[in-house]
Amino acid sequence: MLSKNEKGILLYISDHGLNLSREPFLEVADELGMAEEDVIAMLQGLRRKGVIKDLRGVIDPKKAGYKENALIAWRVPDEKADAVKNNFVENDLVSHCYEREPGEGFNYNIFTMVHAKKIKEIEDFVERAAEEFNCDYALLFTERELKKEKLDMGEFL
Amino acid sequence: MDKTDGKLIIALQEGMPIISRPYKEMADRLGISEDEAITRVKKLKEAGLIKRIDFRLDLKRMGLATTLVACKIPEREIQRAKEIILNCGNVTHNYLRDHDLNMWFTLSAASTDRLRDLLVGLKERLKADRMLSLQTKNVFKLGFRLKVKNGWKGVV
Repeated sequence: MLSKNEKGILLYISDHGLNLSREPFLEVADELGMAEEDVIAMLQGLRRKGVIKDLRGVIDPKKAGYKENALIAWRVPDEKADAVKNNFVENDLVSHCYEREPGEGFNYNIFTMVHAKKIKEIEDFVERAAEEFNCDYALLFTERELKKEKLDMGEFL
Repeated sequence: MDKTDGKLIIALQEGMPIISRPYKEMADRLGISEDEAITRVKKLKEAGLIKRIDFRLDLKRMGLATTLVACKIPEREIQRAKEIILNCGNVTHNYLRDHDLNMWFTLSAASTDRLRDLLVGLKERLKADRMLSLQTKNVFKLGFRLKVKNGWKGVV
């Protein structure tokens, strides 16, 4: 599990984002009363352990013109799961791809979130994938976004 | 936005190294100065295209349990349910969808037990006719990215 210092660093950066300055980790270190090299070493360690996947700029799809999105639930037999999953991961329209426990009366196991500039692109993608992999799906367009935030790490760390 | 902004956006979504001067490394690759890179990223952030610079974390490795909750909320209860979800720190995303299961939200908790307790409480409070928890087994892809097949031209 994470140490107290590791939690403190992750929580601080999660709350504030990484600063746009020459030495952003020095600022984190100063704020937390630590040495910059220790902060960087801890973060690199977390990255090696896979806790941190990467450090990157978060892009707003809507601002980038990707105004349409939908959730698609797929029913994929186990023997096809790898091929389907790999195809989805490689597809530019797919932003998220998960394997989930099927629900009662909602028997789907692979879930994709897709973003596109036009609804037609989403419909085409779904039709093509359903045909190629011969699997059932539920296409759930977003009617309204009621909440979209980053995870409040303070709830967990 | 120009060519350099496009390249910068691509570099930002590709990921940055965890080093003392991460923006310098990026600037060097693009052939601009560190200060110019920082100024440009600030402008992209002000424009809202870049929301923030942040880590992507593997919640499973952090011991968190996550699920996607699908529920059927009666029309008259939707507004109330929306408020409850807005105030729930364990939920990051909530959408109304065109389906009999009309409300869909993500739920994270410090453990599987805690997740189960939260679900029981929420079903009651949201007055859901039906609620399914589609627990995450594997995450294969996570996070929106701009298509960059055509290089920076596809971005700007």
